[in-house]
Amino acid sequence: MSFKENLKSLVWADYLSALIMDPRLFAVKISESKRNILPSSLIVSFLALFSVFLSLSLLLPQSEFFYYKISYGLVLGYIILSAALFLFALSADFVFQYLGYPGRSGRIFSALNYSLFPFVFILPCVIIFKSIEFAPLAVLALAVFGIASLIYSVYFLVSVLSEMNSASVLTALAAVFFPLIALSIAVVLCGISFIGIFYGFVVNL
Amino acid sequence: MDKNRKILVAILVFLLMSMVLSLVQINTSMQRKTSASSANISISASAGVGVVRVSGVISSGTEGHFASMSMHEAVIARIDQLAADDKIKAVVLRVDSPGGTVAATQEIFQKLMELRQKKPLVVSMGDMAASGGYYISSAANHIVANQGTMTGSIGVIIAAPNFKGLFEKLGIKMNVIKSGKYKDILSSSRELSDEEKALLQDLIDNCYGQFIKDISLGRNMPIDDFKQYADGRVFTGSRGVEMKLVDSVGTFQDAVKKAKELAKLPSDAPLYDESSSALDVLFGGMGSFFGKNPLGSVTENNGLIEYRYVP
Repeated sequence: MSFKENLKSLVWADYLSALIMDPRLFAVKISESKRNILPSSLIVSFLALFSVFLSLSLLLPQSEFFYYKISYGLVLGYIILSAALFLFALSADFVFQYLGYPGRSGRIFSALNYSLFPFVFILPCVIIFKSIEFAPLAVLALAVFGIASLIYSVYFLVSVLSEMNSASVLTALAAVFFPLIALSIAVVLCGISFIGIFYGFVVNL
Repeated sequence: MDKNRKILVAILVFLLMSMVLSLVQINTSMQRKTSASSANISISASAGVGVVRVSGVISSGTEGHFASMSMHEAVIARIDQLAADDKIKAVVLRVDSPGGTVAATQEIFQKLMELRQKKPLVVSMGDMAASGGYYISSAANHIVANQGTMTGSIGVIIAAPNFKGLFEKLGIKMNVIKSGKYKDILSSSRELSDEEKALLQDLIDNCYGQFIKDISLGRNMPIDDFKQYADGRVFTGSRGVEMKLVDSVGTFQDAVKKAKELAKLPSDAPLYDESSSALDVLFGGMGSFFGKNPLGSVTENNGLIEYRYVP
């Protein structure tokens, strides 16, 4: 099925519906799919990123930098997000395969992209609070909705990965948090190395 | 399409709309900042002519959910901006208005009279500069109208619908408790009494007196010279010249040329026009779809005293 036919068939709407109503049904649907990486999942993560960009732009002081942020910045952000999600999917796949489950990094990547869907709802929420001209409430809404979206994303991901691999919830949790911790450690180490290199460079000037 | 899919498509449409709305909001906010900074830039730029635009009904009320200030406040803010800018040596006021409410019109007139003390002011009349539109135009040093511009309509009007017959047919009765006998003057549920008519006529005559006095002041001509035409009649720009209520026939460019001439500016001096916001562009045209009263001019005035041309 081509991308256009896929769009017209509204199969992607079924994925989103399952995403909201029943994550385990989503796992069944994604397992039945012929493709490993669903193109519609890439659109979902893009929309989520776009929504977060716009929400932050609405709340932060606006300058002409917005045009760079929403064009080059969005593209760069999307590339970084996709790369991070891909690394995340590979790490989760590694954990599953290590524990004797099938894994399937492509499908985990699709599920990861879809799991960002709740972040899309941050924008309407911010607009509503912003329109009543009460900025602290909008910031609070952004924080609360952001945390709620993150919690739902983790819950969704754990449920889907558990169902896809017929694994226990604990195993799925380990598969989700291991890459998170590993990536966090990698980021911190990179940061420390960068600071060290920068410090050494400045000292030797 | 099953129910779940329909709901999801509706949610997605809502999300996309919110994205478009936020983009427009950010863009508008930045346009305001850009126009403010360009106004500052113009201080360091070369001397030129500033433009103020008065389009539509002059009113002190905000229209629409997106308006942050009323039309007359925006015009006054623009006049103040141009008055304070040292590089603006002359101002062209572009009028395309059938007039509007009394106080808003008079406030703009007063501001323009103050501006005229500092810088030459030339009016360019568009399709219409009638009633209150002419009132504010009269504050200029020079009025340029197109040949076919509808102008004049010097007068005051108050109108309110009388639904008494309709109410009787429908069996609707109004319960009115009032502190004085004139408190519900111009009520739409009853006829106007002779006393009330006299009272309103006095009010209208008073506002009319202020109108012609200000025209006389602005145009620097005795009231008797134009009072014969100040009976609410509308006339074209070319007839206005004959009546001495307009100085010359010409286009907006002619008005700019005249302003440069009065300010002794070179012909290539820049023109500092105001920019309209993205919201104006996006939602401005929707007014005719959502904002118009279906009963038209019969109820549009609704008891407001106006310097306004009502065909």
